[in-house]
Amino acid sequence: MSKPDPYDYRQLLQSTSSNDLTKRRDVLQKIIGAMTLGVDVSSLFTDVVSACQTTDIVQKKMIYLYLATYARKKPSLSLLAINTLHNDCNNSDPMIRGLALRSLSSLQHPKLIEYLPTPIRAGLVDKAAYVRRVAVISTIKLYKIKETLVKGSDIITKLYEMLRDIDAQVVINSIVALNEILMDEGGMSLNRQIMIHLLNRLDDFTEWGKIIVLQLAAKYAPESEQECFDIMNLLENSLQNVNSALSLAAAKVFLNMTEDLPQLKQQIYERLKIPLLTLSLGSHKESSFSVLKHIFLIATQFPTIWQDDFKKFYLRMNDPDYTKKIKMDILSVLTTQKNFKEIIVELSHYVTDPNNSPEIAKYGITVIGRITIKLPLWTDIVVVQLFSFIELEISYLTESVLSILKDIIRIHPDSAQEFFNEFKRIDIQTIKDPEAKASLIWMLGEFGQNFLDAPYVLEAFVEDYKSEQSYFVKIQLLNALMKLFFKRPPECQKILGKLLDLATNDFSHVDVHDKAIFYYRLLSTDFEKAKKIVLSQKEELRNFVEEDLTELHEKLMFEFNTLSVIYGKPYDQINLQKKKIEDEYEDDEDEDEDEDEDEDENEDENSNENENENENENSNENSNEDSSEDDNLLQNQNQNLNQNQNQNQNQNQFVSPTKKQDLLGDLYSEPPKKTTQEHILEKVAEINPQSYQQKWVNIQNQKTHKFQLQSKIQNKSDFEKKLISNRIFVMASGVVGNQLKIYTYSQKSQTNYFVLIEIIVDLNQNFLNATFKSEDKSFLLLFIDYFQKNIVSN
Amino acid sequence: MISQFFILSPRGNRLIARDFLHEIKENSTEILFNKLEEENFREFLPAFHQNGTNFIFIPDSDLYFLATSKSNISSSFIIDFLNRIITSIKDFCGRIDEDIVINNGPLIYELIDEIIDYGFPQNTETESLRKYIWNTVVLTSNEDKKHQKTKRTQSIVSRKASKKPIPNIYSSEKEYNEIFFDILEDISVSFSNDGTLIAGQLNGRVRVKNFLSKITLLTIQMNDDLHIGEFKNQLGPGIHISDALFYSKCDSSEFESEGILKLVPPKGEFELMKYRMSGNSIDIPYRIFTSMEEIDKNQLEITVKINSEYPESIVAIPAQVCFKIPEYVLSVNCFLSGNDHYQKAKFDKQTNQVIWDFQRFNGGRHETLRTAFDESKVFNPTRWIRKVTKSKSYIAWLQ
Repeated sequence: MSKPDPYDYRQLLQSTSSNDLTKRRDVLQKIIGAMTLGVDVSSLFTDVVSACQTTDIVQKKMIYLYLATYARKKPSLSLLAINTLHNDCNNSDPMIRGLALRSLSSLQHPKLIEYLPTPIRAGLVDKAAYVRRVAVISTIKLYKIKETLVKGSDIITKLYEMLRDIDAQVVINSIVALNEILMDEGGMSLNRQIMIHLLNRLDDFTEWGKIIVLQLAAKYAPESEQECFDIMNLLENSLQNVNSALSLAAAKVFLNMTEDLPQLKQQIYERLKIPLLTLSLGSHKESSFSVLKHIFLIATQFPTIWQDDFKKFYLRMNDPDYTKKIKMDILSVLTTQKNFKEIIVELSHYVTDPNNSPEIAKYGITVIGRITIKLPLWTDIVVVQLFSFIELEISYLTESVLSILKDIIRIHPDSAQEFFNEFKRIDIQTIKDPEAKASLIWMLGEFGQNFLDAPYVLEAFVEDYKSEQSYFVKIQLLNALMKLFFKRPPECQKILGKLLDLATNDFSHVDVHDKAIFYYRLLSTDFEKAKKIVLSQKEELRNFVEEDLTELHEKLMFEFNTLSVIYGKPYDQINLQKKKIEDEYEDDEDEDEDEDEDEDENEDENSNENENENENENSNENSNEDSSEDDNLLQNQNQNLNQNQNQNQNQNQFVSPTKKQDLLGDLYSEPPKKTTQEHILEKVAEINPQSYQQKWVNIQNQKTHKFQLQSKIQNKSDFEKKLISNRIFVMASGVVGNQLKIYTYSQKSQTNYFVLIEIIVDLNQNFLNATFKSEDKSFLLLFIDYFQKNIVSN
Repeated sequence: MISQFFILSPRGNRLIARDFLHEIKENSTEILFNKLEEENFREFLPAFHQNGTNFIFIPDSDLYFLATSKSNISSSFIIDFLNRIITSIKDFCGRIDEDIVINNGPLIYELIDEIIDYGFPQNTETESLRKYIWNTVVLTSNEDKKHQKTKRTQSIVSRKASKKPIPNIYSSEKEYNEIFFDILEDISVSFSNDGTLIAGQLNGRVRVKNFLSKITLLTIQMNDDLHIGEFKNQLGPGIHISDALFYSKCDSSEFESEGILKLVPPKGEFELMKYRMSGNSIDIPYRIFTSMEEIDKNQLEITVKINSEYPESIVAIPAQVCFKIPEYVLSVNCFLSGNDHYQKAKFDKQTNQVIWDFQRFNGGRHETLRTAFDESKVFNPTRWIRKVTKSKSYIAWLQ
């Protein structure tokens, strides 16, 4: 669509005679159309306003619409329209009077304010209900421009009087106006008389009007129990309504009325049960969703109400994803020992159903995890089910399983071994989700003592350290390797050294860096104490703090039937994000400091909530705490630990352990393996891990070769035997996914020169990738030849 | 309350834009549209919060209806209210789509301004709105105009008959003296493979479109064998409804005892009643049986059998059955039991689905589809076939 030029419209407007109704309407329609699209046609203001004097109501309406949009931009020109509007306010046709008053009051500009009060006051006592309705709403507009013109004036008294107007909509508008104008005082003041009067007229109001009266009733505190019952009986019909907003508004009154009558609560919830269920299954997706959110909230308070109806919340094929999620949430709340198996089976179908989006499949796994933590008696069944998802070898399912497994294993540590039995099915390369990675790493650190490959799996993560984006994964990696190091020192020492080296030089996230420094110092200060600290006994877990959302749900019950329920957060937490943004960017005056403080507190809660899934470790190791301890440690011990390093340091105040790996190396050294043979290589070679590592880093002469293996490597240990029998000794080895990784060393006969190899075998493709390093460059080629003959071809 | 109201085209153009409170600076429609783009136009939460503004929107007829607000209002209120606005526009325009909205801008603005004043809901009842509406509807396609003029016979009423606009009172158009009742039912059922019911749910609604020119008291008498309430035990004969909800101005006091509803129907479209049936009280229209068999090591056979439980006189047009096949399967052989030209089955590699189409499915018939495919990869099919029967609507005319 080409952009319309306002100038063309002006010409059109001027060239059409005001008598030619069709043409003039057509031009105005085009102008309104351009305005709607967002084209600025305010330059036509004078022309449009001068067309205002028409008697054609269709044109008038379009001109008023134009005025309402642009008047605030052109206050001085709006004066041109005021005369016509004033005249129209006295027109004999009530519809014209109403329209004119509505437009006049929407020219909200302080300059025009003096023209407003008189027609509004006249409108409030107009004989036509249509005009009174408009006049009542206009008082709000007046109030918004200048409070003092309304507050404390006779208008308020008049509005209270109008609560008894014969026109139902005038009554509703008066409630709305009083609520807006008296918002600071908590809205319209309410007494028994007014309340009973409004409730008795309930049938006169439109459904929207009813809702407004019910919102008032929800704020009303009945004087006696009897009154409470009377009101609830009056509202019985509203509950049974096709309009879900009306039903929920009635539900809120019921809930509030019985706030102090706990013996009635159960009965009230029983009353809500069936209508809400029917509304939640209706055909409007959005309406149903809103009701489902409220069912979820009520169910968190009183799970027994819908417990027998849990099947009604089974997913339907054509439910949108957001509905599917809330239904699964509801199922998780309704799970009992009795229906546990049935619900787990149903949820498992959602996970494997190819019609469901990955998001829903993943959510199904999350909910299964949540239920299992809630009812830990059945963990065995669930763990088997979860492993069956891993067997499908779909990476996003595996990731989700990993994410929830850590929580299950924390409650049920026996599952760890079963998990490691399944481990071979997981292709680590496909795990991309930081939470899944972190969870896997945590499990390896915590339970890796019984899992042969644990150090090598972690090594793979260390190898990929530089490409890792998530600081949380890095922190978990540090934690896990520290733990595993104390359980299996020989295998982990080198890897940990490398990780500490990487992490202490990693300035991408301060927590990672600080934690690495902290661990490093811990190790170098007192090995035994470090072990005690890192491997401290944990208390048995029953509940997770973050699963305990009772408080949140109780708060939300106070905000029943508002958007907070949809967002799942109290509104002050949601709206505060906006305040924060304003503070940052708009640089508002610091008027209310007290309020700000409160907000910060809330915000902390809020962010905890957001990250609760990521921060499961909090209870054991608070990374922030660690960092501060770390600082102290640094300050106290900086000097003596830095002695031999001072010359290496620039401005950097932190100590990098790069060159100090021997410190770690002394902690443990592996006994050498001995075999007998002869050849170009010494039959016995001895090297300890830390000097191996040093050599690996320092030796510059290296060659990389790729070989195609003749026969498939069936067994890791057989292959290692073959290496050893050829005087190539194994330093470390491990299988990660499809890769077999081996580090070897050999000693050139009659010399002190070593040859080191990093062998990576792709077990699927039968490729062997080897990086050879030797201090003797000339020997390297000879050795590679030897390697090919004896290892690859043989 | 409501700060702004918009109708957006599928491409994000503003077709109708009304700012009541002038309190939101950001460009709301762009925020919504960016959000939709982020989500690839998949369905996502109907309400979200951004920079202090709440966005509540409903997709309908390929258009987006958006309301924004600064306050923590009731989500259901706004959602139901938006739905009511949509119905009002349909009442006055006959139907709603992009062309209708573009061509009837002034009419829709007129309507919106009567329905919402300064963000507060006013009148939404079609009859009382009529006297404030001056524009006449501009219909776009010739089809509509032709349709309006053709004289209909008593017995056959096309589905379009109820999709005509209600003229405003200043119009010279002749009013039709008729009232339409649509009974719309959605059935969701899941079967286990032996055809037993796992969960069943029927959600029905009675939608009324009233073109009666006179204000009349309407009395509606339901079947005698209608029972209401949740039934735990064996069901007796008759129709068993778990729950029913009614239009707010409908007198339902005699419904449970006598099955009688009384009301003065408002002009235009409204929902008279919502009801729900569950479990065994539903007459399942079709039963589906499935079996899976490993013919040899690499061959898997899936058989689907459908029995229509309807009497022969009721024919479904059309009907479709689909189920997913693992992604690595390249081809599937389909064998149909019936050899008529009303049905065909094929494998769609793009969606990995077997689609079994019926041009018509006669009541009382049994049809079987046998499919076989290579299953060279080890796979443990727990139950990745889901049988969900979704009914189309059943329409009954009362005149």
